[in-house]
Amino acid sequence: MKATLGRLWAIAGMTLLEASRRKVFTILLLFGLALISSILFFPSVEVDARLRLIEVWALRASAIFTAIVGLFLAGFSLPQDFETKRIYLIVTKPISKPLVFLGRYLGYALLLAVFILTMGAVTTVFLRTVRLFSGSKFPPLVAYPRIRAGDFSAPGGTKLEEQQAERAVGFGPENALVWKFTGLRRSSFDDQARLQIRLIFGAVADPYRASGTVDVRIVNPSGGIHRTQLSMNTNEEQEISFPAGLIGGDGVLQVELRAVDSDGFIAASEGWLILYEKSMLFELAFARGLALILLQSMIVLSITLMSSTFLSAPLSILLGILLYLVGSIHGYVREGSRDIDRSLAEIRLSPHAEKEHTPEGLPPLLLRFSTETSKLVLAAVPDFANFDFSVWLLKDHAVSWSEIAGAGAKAFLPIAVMVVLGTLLMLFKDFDR
Amino acid sequence: MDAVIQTEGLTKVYKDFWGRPKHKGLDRLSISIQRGEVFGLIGPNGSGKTTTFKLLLGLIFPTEGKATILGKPPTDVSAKAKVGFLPEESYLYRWLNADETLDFFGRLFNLDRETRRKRADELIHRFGLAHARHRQLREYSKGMTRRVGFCQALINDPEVVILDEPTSGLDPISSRQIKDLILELKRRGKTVLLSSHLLADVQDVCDTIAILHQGQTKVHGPVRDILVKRDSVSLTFKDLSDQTRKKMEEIAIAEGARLVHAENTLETLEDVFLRTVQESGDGLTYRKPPADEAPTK
Repeated sequence: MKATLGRLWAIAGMTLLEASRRKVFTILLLFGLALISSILFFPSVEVDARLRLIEVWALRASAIFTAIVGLFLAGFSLPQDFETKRIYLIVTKPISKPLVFLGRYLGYALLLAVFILTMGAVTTVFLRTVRLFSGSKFPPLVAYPRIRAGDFSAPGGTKLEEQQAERAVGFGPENALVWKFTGLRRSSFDDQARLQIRLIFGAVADPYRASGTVDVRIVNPSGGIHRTQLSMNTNEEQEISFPAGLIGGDGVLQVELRAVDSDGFIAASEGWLILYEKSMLFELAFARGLALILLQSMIVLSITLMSSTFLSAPLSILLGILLYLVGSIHGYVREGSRDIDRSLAEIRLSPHAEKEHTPEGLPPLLLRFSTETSKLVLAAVPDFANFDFSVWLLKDHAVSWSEIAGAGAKAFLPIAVMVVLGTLLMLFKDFDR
Repeated sequence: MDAVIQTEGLTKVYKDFWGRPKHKGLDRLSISIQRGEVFGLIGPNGSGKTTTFKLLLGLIFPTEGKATILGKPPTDVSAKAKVGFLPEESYLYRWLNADETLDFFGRLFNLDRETRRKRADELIHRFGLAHARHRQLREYSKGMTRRVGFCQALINDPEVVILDEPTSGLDPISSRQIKDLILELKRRGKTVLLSSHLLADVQDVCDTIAILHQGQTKVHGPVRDILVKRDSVSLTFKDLSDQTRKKMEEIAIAEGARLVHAENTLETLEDVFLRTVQESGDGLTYRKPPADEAPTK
């Protein structure tokens, strides 16, 4: 086992060394230049919006540069080894062919990690420098860890099936949506703690109701209470503050929401109410977010390297790009596919089903084929929105460890499938050229 | 006998994209190479030499038959640990220098750092690469790259050495050094399998040869048995006067022998070249192995 790991590390180390000799790291200079060039846009952007400009700029540049490096290096490495017959010298040594694939994958994954970490360090240093020279109007560099409730219930309410929200309650003193937080630590909050709420409003007699007022009560087991009312729209995210002193030694806090409008109801899901801790170190939060970009890059890397065991370099790179694009528009395709399903269901229920055409004028059979194919592709390709760090960064949210673990779980299956496939393809590869 | 490399009916049929047979690269090769033997595979281009090597090294899978190295299948990692391979061209990483290259290959053999460093040092000096050891291989000449190829093939002190065209691209001095090295390996009990287009080289170093043509074994046996002409004798004398030579010819003819050819012994061009270079004193040197190191062949 130790010997195998030593050989694996030898291939990975050589991959890194070769990349550095090929001056791949000069791309980091280009990244630095790209970041500095964002200064050119400063005059046209308000001081308080510059932080977002740099963040978006840096994240997009990191993602693109990392993707390019990953795609091209992985796409060319094995085909070049085969083409130049360097592979002869490696697989004739006491190393199995699959290990060569794994070593290459490990080497490139490490290379991407070095890239992403360096880009992250450059970005945070740049942000701190810009902030230093921008004066007080420049927003603070913050990242708030979020806490979700351990328990969500709806006394007097109903459980919703196949709806956007999980539970709904109507007007009444006994009816409430209740989130219960446990294990809270007072020291994790500033004097004023923040809470974010999102709700759906409705009314039985008014199908167009999309706003309302809600009564918010934050209570602790010792009877301490903070009460306020909020007027808000459906799916709008609103924040309220309350004294963190409410969090006692037991670390338990309950948030109760009641409909104020007598004819209305409110609905929500467990994750729609979030408690913010005080900001953690921005650089640390940024590093956590970069882990998401690394996971995304490792997915693209795995398919590119796997396909390069039997396809030419350009075709492997093309496949990697295709995966990247499909993964990036996953959400849109999923939504579109749902709409088509709805159209098809309506047509099926129509009395003239056999003569019906979809609103686009396409025959239902073609549309069914298209939507089923899309679903198959979507099942095979992970949704890259899970790895889009900008979703967190632009809201000043810190990526939690559980979110990283969740993203890791989503990335694991496609990576594992590609790596297993790649090792099998290598195992049975005949170097007959 | 202790067979180190053995093949039985080894056959390789190359197929096209659709899996249809394209051509037979090797046809029922059956050979047995003993420990300490130097075995030469010769034949024209496309005769199956490289296919044989690829099969023996597990680079391709046989269509029929089987091959073993040290009693194990060619893909067996423990067998590969005792094999050194020099391909026809030195397919090395151009961005690495000689030290890094040897260190990398040493790590694939799982050699510890100290052994890697020691062996690399010895080989680099032996192959005259010390002055260029820190230069990237892309700056090397073809001959120098070839020598690095040799170093990597020997980094694990292998029991079996497989050399595809070992003297290709080398100048006569290096070529001679390689032949001496092969004989030295033999003396140390190593088994060497080589292929070459330079028949004189094969004749110089091999104990046994097989001549392949269109994938088939046409001739197979000890070099001496294959080359010897039983009905013809050549004698080499030193300081033989013309008069004595004439007398010897007359005696032989009187005894019924037929004189086919008589001339003064010629030196090989290689010997003349090596001596000339040696005498010119321009730094290029070739050291002939001392008598006690002389090959046993």
